[in-house]
Formats: sequence, C-alpha cells, structure tokens
Amino acid sequence: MKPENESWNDLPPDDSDERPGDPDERLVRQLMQSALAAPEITSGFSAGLMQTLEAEFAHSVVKTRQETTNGEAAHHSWQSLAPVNLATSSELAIASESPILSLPQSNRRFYQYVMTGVAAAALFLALGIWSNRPAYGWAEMLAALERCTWVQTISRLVADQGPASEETAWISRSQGVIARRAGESRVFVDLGRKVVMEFDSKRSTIREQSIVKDSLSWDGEIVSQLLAVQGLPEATNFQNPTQIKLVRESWSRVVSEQHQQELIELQVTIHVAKENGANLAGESRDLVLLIDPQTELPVSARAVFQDRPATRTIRFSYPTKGPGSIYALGVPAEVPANKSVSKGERIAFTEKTTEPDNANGVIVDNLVVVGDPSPKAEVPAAEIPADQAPAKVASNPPVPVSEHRQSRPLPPPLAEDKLVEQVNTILSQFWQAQGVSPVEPASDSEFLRRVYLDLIGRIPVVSEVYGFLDDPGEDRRQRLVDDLLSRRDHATHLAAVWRTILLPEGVDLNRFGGTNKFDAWLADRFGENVAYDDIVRQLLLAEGRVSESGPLLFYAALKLNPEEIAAKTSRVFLGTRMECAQCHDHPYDRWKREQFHELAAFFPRIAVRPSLSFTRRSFEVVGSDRFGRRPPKNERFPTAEHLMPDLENPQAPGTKMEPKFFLTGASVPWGTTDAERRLQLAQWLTANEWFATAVVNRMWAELVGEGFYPTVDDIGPDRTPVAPTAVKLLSRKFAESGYDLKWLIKTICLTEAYQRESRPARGTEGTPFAANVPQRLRSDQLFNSLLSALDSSEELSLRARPQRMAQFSPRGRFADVFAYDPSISREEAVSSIPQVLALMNSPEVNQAVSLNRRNVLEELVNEIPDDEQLTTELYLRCLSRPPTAAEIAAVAEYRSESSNRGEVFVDLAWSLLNSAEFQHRR
Amino acid sequence: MTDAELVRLAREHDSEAWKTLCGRYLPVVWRYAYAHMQDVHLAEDLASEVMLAFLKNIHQIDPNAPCIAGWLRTVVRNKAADHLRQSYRIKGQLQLLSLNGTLRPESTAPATALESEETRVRVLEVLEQLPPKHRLLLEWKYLEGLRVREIALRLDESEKGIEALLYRARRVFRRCFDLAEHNSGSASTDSLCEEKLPPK
Repeated sequence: MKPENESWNDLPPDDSDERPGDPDERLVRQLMQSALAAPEITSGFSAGLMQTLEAEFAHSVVKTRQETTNGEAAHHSWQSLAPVNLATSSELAIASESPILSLPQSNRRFYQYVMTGVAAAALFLALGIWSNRPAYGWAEMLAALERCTWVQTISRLVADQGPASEETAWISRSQGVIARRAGESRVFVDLGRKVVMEFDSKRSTIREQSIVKDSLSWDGEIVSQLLAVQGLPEATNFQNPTQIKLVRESWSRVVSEQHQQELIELQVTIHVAKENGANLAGESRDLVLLIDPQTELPVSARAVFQDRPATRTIRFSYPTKGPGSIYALGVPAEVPANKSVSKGERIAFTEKTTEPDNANGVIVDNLVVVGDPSPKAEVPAAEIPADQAPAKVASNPPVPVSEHRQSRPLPPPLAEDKLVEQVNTILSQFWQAQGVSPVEPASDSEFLRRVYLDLIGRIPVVSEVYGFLDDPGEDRRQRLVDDLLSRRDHATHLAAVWRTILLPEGVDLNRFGGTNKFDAWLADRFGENVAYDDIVRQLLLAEGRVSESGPLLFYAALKLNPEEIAAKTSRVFLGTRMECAQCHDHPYDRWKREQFHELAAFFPRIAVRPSLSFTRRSFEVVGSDRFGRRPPKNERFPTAEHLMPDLENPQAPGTKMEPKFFLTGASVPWGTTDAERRLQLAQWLTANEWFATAVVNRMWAELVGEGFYPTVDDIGPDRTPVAPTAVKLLSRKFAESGYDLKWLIKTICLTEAYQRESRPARGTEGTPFAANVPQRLRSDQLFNSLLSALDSSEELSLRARPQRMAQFSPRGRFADVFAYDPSISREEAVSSIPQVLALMNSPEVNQAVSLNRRNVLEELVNEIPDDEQLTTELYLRCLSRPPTAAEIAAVAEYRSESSNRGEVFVDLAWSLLNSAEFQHRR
Repeated sequence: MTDAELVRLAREHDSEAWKTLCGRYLPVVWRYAYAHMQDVHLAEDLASEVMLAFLKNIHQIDPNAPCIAGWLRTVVRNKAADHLRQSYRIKGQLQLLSLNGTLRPESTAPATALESEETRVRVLEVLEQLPPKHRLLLEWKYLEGLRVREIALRLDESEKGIEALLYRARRVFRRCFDLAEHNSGSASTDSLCEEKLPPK
C-alpha cells in the first residue's frame, strides 16, 4: 500500500494493468468484476442500437434545423419582441451553463432555481406563441397537394415572341392519374398500371406504352408535371426519372388584390433534371407561388425561365372529380387503343370486351374504369369547369374522418331485369360454347328452401311452404326474394355470414366482450341497407371502446397486429392473398415482400389502451401517433412506423416501410397520422376495381355454390375467372348501384344459374354454373332450421336453460361444432364426427325430438290421426317438400311393424333431422 | 477528446461526436442494466431505453463525465425499478432460479450461490456510496480496462492526477467494503464511508 505521507505526484505513470505494490488493486478488480460482470454486448444488439441512435440523432437534428430555418425565414415582429423564443433549447442550455457553473455551490443552486423559473416562464410564453406560429414552405405545400383528391392546373405560357399557349393538367395521387390536354395533345398516365396513353390526332389512334421505370415518385414525376417541367420537351417522357432538387426557398405574407385576401408568397428555386442514361441534363426554375394560409394549397404560380424570355402562369383549382380515362379528355370514343404494352401487362378494364362468350350480340358496355371503377367518378374534361379558382381557394381539403364513418344514402336502385337477362345470356352462350346443357330449373319447393336458407338463414315453416306453393303468380319467386330481403332476419343472417368472414378463427372473442355487439352493428348496417363500401370504410376507421363499439372487434380480433390486419384486409376486401409475401416474395403471384409490409405500414399506429370506467374495465382502440403501438415483448424498438424485419439479422430493427397501396402504388408519406392513413387506405381500397369484383365473386359463390374464381378470396390480376364478361359486368353494375348489397343478392337470386337444380360439385373437367351446388348448412342456418322444424324459440331453444355467456348457449355450442373456414369452398366443408354426434346424441336435440307435453311432436301426433298426413307434415317441416310415394310407403311399412305410433313418428322426425338433405342446402 | 467536448459537439449536431459518446457510455449503461436485470434480453431493452433517453436529454445533462455516468446510472435504476415493479413476480422467479443455480451454472451449491449474491449486492452498495468520480474511475479502470492515459484524456486531467484519484478510490472502496462485510446486516455503511472519505 502507498504510504500516507507520500506525494501522489511522485507515483510513476500507470501503463500496466497490474500494480503489484498495491494490495487493494487486485481485490478491487476482482470484486468489481465479480459484482458487475456482464456478458459481452452482442454485436447484433450493439449495431442495431447504434443504428437507431444515429437515426434518432439525425432526426432530431433535422427537426431542430427545420425549426431554426422556419424561424429565420419568417420575418415577423414577434421575433424582435421576444428574442428568447428564437433560442433553441441547446442554445438555452449552453448559455445557461457557464455563468452558473462559475458560481459558488451555495449560490449556484439558488441561481439554478431562479433560472429554471425564468426558463419555464419563457418556455411557456414561447409555446403559446410557437403553437400558433404557422410554417409555410415547399414541403408543406406538397403535403397539402397530396391530400387533395384532384388537383387541376391551367398554365399559360406567355412568350415575347409567338402566340401564347395554354394547357390543362389534372393530377390525383389517390387515383394514380396524371392527365394533360394541350392543343391537340392528350396524354393520360395511369400510375397504378404504369401505362402512358397518348392520343395521336393525325392517325386517330391511342398509343399505349408501359412505363419501364419501376416506380414513379410524387416528388419527381408528378410535381414536375404540375409545376416545373411543363414546357420542357422531355416532360412527356415518362421513361426517364425526373430529379427535383430544392435549391432555395423563402416566404412572406402579401395581400393579393386579385384574390382580396392575405396570401403567402413562396419563392423557390428548384433544379429540374431529366435523367437520360448517364447524363443528367436540367435547368433551374424560379417559381413564385401564392399560397392560401388556411389550406396551405397554392392558388397560383408563376414560373420564370432563366434562359428564355418567357413566363408561365399557373392557376390551381381543386375539383372533386377528374378524368377517369383518356376518352374523358376529349378523345372520340370510337378511337381504338393501339397497345404496345410490354412485359405482358394486363389491361384489365380498358380493353374492349369482345370475348368469345359475348360473340352473339349481347351488349356489354366498354368498361372504362381507372382507379375508381364507378363511372360516377368519370367526368368528361369538357364538363369540368375550367375556371374553378375563385377569389378564395376552392379546394377539396380532406373531409374529417368522422364524416367518413357516417353512412351515405344509396342511389336509386338499378333495374335488375335487364342485367339478369344479360347474365343469363352470357352464361347460356358460355355453356353453348362448351358444348354442355345445364340442368333443369329447380322445383318451387327446392327453390323455396334454398332461398330461405340463403337469405334469412332458416328453412320455411309449413305455412310459408303452403303459401308459396299455392301462389299462382308467375313472379312469385321475385316477390319472395323481395319479401325475404326486406326482413330483419335477412340482416341478422347476413351479419352472421360476414362475421365468419371478417373475424379470424381460433381467437377467444369473449375477452373483448363477445360478438354480440359486432353482430348487432353489422345487422343494423345490412338492415338499413348501408352501402358496402361505407360498411368497409366504417370498419377500417373504427375507434373507441372495444366493449361499446361493434366494428372495433375487427381490429381487436386481429390483435392490432399490422401484418394480420394487412393480410385480412387484402384477403377479405380485395380478394388477394398477400400473407404469403410476409416472409418472402409470393411464390406464384407478383406480390413482393415489400408490398405486403407497405400495406401493413398503414396500421402500425393503431394502439389499445385500458379504459377505466366506474363499472367495468374495458379497452379502447385509439390511433397513437406519438409513440406508435406498444411493442410486443420480442420487439425492442418502439416506433410509430412499420418495420419490415431483417431476415438476415432478426435482432436488427428492420426497414422502415412507407405506407403504399400495392394495387396502385399510391402512398402516403411517413409521419402521416393514423386517422389519415386509414382513411386514405379506405378510400383507395373501396375505389379499386378489385373491391367490387371480390364481393361479387364472394356473393356469387355463396349463392350459386361456386365462384367465378376457384377460391373466393384468391382472385386478383394473376387469376383468370371462368366467365370474365359476366363477373366484369356484375362488378361494374354493382359499383354503379352504389355498392348496394341487397341489389346484388337479389340480382344473383334471379339468375338462372341460381335457380337451377342442384348437383354435386363438378370435377375439374365439368362446366361451371350448369347447376347449383349443394352446400352444408352453416351453424346458424342449422340451428335456426332446427328451431323452425321443431317450433321452438331462441329463448327456449331446445329446452336448454338460458345461459348468460353466449358461448355456453346451444347456439354457441353449435357454432363451435359446426364452424368451418369461410375461405374454403363449401363442398370441401365435410361433416365431422362431432357434428354427427351433436345432432344424433346431444341432449338438447334428443329432448326436443321426443314426446312430451311441451314438444310440438306430441301435439302433432295427437292432432293428426292420419299417418300419411302426419308423414307429409313432418316432411314439410323438415325438408320443405311433400314426401314421395316411395317415402310414404316406407313410413307406412315401418308403422305397421310397431304398435307405438308416437315412437314411429318420433323416429321419423329424428331421421329427417339427421338426414343429409336436412343438413344441406340444395 | 474529452467527454465534455463530445457532449458540446453533439449538442451542435455533430453526429460523429454523438457516435463516439454512445460508444463510450454504452458499456457503462449495459453493465449497470445487466447488474439490475440479470437477464440479457431485459438488459438490452433497458439499455436501449436509457440510451434513447440520453439522446433526448443531451441538452440538459451536465457535460462532465462523472455527471453523465451518474445521470445514466440513475436513469437505469429508475427504469429498472419501473420494470421490476411491473413484473416483480417474474423477477422473483428469476432470483429464485438464480439462487438455485439455474441461471448460474458456475454455482455448484446453494450456499456458494447465496454467498456470491451477497457479495455482489455488497459491492453494488459500496459503489453507490462512492463519489461519482471515484466510481467512474474504478469502472473505467477495472471493468472497461482503460489505461490511465485514456482516462486522463477523457477527463482532461493529468495522468498523475488520475493515478492519485485511482489510489484514493481504491482505498475508500476497500475500507467501505471491509466495513460493510464486518457489519453485514447490522448497519448501513453509508455514514462510515462518508467519515473516511478524503476531503475534496
């Protein structure tokens, strides 16, 4: 040990770890290393954390600089009045350090208190002013433009020499469309399909070219079309990427005499370059924009050419509708498209429908739908008012999310007669081309039982059977369909069907309060005939308490997991299975792994938080924009953006994904709030062509027994339907009807394909839709049919005691036993041993099918003395048809072998309820 | 470059300075987090949170190295306490497993494991009593293996000065530890250590 009196400065410098002369050295080292021993930091963790910290650091730097830049750009008096507001927190911190630290300890603490108070007061004042302080700039203007559904520009080039020229452009990021009209030139760019259509007025043709470039960025191509490169010869060249670089920007407030309001004058210098091979040629452009301070949208702009004596003025307007196709730009409808599309890209909705099954004169309109399949969105450019820029900016700022949660009134119902006739003709020609004859139309009793089960989820009672069979009217089937669709039972049944489609299997939904609220919410929507796209929009925008809000169960059941929500959303609403692309590119389809995670990036900010009330503990689903959702245990870095896991290094945070809609390539920027993300996705999704096709295919499969596509939720651009014209026609009309589900169901029920006799599912060589396909009853259909056949009610269902919890009720047990995956085709849903045993041996059924004074069977046996009449009654009750002669004979023979009449008919009822005919919808 | 200079540069948005700071202080945070959590995954979570908090508060932290380390240790301690409060049962199980030797294969007998644990806790208690600078020097020297020259550079002091400080730190540590061991369970070592501390 070092002697106490020795000077420390005499010690030799310590270049070695061991100091043999100091006995404390080894002990301290040993103790500390044993106490604070920790394993080595794993390289993956260290690298991932360092990456995150660097990114966060860079983010904070950008944020601070933006604030500083904005502060410098604005020349406002408050800066001089309150200089403390201009100081950044770092400046405050550094400035406050030196004088305080130089003080004695006792005074330092006092000054710290004082300075803390002063700083808090200054901060309070600064926040008060800062929160109201707007910031204007190029980036903010672009963000505002992105939020608009349509942006229209009318630009006028005034040159010193030569005549002035004018051109009009439309752009919609949500629809993925750029359109331009200048003189004879007409250009229409479909960004979703990456196709450029250009009208050649001399040859009177439309030239179509696919865009070779993988993706078009909003900042590059689109903005250049609007503002910068109009007038450049390369402007129409979409094959080469455009690079835009902001060189300088500044803004100030001006009072516009023309617009009679205070506007923001934003002066920017941008460098625009078209990349042509290795060369990057471009020019700088000075732009002066007038921006509405309320909406941050430009009112007008003036481009100054540095190398040319010319000025271009641009006026902005924001209509609600825009051109849906090149024909809307004034191209004559008879001009054919001269396709030269590379890569074998499908032109699904713009080609003329001249398919073989339409060869004999069936009139099918040309299906010109881009972005929004509904023709209501397609407005000829001539009808779009050219001067839509009034004194104040006539913009279409985003509608509040709450309004999108409301239901809109449906348009007047379309007449389905002509459409039914068209579908029948298309299918008959299809069968003719295949060389097959369809089966005979179903009998009235078969149709009756089928339509009851399909539309209200139960078999008809005896009086309803007699009422229909005795109806002599030729339109009795149509009237029956109308009647059933108007009943509340239809809404309830449809809700049960869609519940199985929307909610995943194998999730304990009781911890979220059960499915009652969800069922009731769906039933209310279907009962009020809310448009299908409105229902989907309300589902996707749901927020609030899980126990009180029906649609929230959709998110809660998917555990708020962005990947699961993305998979379910694409599968159910667009009929596209994306989940295969979660871990790797889809092996058979075009979907890439990035596309799946870009879709998931719409949902990372949905979070759940406990919601305390005086009576019970509940959960609340909210959009958490500040922190994102709480990371699961195995995730380390909480983030408000979706991260695509790194497959090579699972411990790494992953790649931050931009929310992008995989069908159109449209995207929203990072940092967009949860509400805006979900709203934007809901709009894109419900406006997409596959949205209507998916539900048409699903409902057709539900009713006819077989869909246009082999699997109800696996359609999409890489699949070929069996009758493409029919499915396109139905999809288009469904969109025209305002997504009226009742109208769609009625139309399908009136087609010949629905009303034909049933036959077992065809093989691969069979012809589709030649017969209706029998289907096993769903659990609700079976349970309701048992109640109908046995004259029982839900409360006294099968003599069971009422249960508080839904899953312990007889209906709940039926749902457990008879549930099956709604994605598989109905004929694949085979009967299982538990299902057979539930009907054969369950105490509830056995008790209901017995002779006691509370049962309808004893009543019937006592009241109907004639055996044949009683047999007919039981057949009508259970199978909705009278018995055949052979069946009557068989019952009579069985009756002759037994002296106990009651037991004979109990056995008959039990046999009928356990028959395959009862358990199927034929 | 000293840590204080690095902090100032980081405040002026120098990313290299920030990177160097993270590299210097992550081992301190990691070690302390692991000492509290005794679980690699939990310690990783804790270290991530603390380093992010470091970034958020870079403008408020005293740039002197002992203050930085002390601030980081305090944040680790608070966050660890939050975490343990939330999952005290799991922690209890972990401690039980630890005492049973499940998590410590080198502990062959329960008595050995218990003794080792007691020593560990005692060392941590003693470290808590040391002045921040002494503690930081001991950690840098004996846990991170820094040389005196490196320490002197980081603290902007002479090597002789660091030598002297290290000598005093070792002596105080030893005294406090001996006292704690002698009076284990009977009294706090707090006052005893303070009495023996050399004048500042």
